[in-house]
Amino acid sequence: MAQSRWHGAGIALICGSLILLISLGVRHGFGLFLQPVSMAQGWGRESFAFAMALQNLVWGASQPITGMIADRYGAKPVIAIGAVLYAAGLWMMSQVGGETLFILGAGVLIGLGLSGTTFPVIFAAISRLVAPEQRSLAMGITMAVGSFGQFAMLPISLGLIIGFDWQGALVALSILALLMLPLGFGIRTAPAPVTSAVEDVSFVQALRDAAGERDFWLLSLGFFACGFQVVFIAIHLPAYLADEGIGGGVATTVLALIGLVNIAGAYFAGFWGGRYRKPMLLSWIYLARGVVIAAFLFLPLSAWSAYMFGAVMGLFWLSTVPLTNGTVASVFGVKHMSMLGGIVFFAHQLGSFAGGWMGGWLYDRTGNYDAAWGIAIGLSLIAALLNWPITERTLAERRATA
Amino acid sequence: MKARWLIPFACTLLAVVVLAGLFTLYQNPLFELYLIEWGLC
Repeated sequence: MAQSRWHGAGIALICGSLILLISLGVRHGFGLFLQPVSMAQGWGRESFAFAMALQNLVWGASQPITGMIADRYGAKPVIAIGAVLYAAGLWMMSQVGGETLFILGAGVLIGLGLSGTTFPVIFAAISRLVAPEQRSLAMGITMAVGSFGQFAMLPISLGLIIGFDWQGALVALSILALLMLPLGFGIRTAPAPVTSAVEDVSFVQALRDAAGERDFWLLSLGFFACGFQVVFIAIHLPAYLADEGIGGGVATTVLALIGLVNIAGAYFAGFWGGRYRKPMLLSWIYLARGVVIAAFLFLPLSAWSAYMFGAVMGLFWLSTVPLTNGTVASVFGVKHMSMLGGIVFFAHQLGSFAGGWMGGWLYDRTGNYDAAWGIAIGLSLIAALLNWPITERTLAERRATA
Repeated sequence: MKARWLIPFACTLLAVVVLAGLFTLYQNPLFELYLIEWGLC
């Protein structure tokens, strides 16, 4: 039975993975466009930075709503609209127009496009097609391919900029984003396999149920820490290393190592998540992040210690994503998984915003990154503690024992 | 005799070559120029 369900979900798994590869991969390279776009448009860096910050907020804030629509009408139309918005946003980025046009395209349209083509929508669609015990592995595989997209698209985006200049590169990426539209049709729609009457409720009731569960909030708060750490490190690590006198391409190699090892980390997180308690694995991952960051800061800094940091941190990078979404599915079922996963992801995006912004804010006030690193370590410990007591008992089981 | 190990071995080898190739692309000095001051958006 389980084997036949895998077979039926195979095409959906491939298509969903490729959608994540494109969606996450294209977005990952936006940092490369900062200088050429700002110079060509005659702007300071603020306009581009504002558009990217807005993109992250729009993505996070719209994710629960996009997820709700996907839960109600299926993933296909949401992915199709998301792909068109994503492509339109990239095309608008390529136009030499005013700041408003750029911010609308890069900030609003791509933010909405991302919410239609990323984890909560894809994971829920695939989770509905596989047996419950295989969901975690399926999410791990999908996340690993998405992580490969991030790793691969960065040098490809740079190559496109060198080959076709920034405008041509954005148009090429826009065409690539449109490919997500046909891929979305490869994801077979399946009715949510309702396992209990407790899960077969309206979205309003599902929201009420989730809001009343302590574990839902603990999971969300823990995911805030993930967003903070990942974005803080991705944005500020190169500057930190440069401040410490470590240049010569070390920073880019460290980021490449994070991206490379992250592929394995995401897969194994999904794999182990199918065998062990997912919140417990999340606790260990957050704790490990804290230990790795502390070791990186307190041991003598060198190029090799930075490489080690990148390699080990990569293992714990996006490995939290399949485990967090998998916990949502375990507790609340898959009927409203996109919406509930979207709410948890919103907490992640708030953390991302805080990590990107506070890193710079604290640096400007203290002249170093010590306080921001301290917060990153503190959040690790808090997230580890928050995730530990979470159980994967279903809502029905919780009601029965209440 | 069918070499059952051949396809997984070939796929693994291909994956390693692709990943290693991409990794070397990161050594492009332009990356540092772009990333040092801004990072990944």
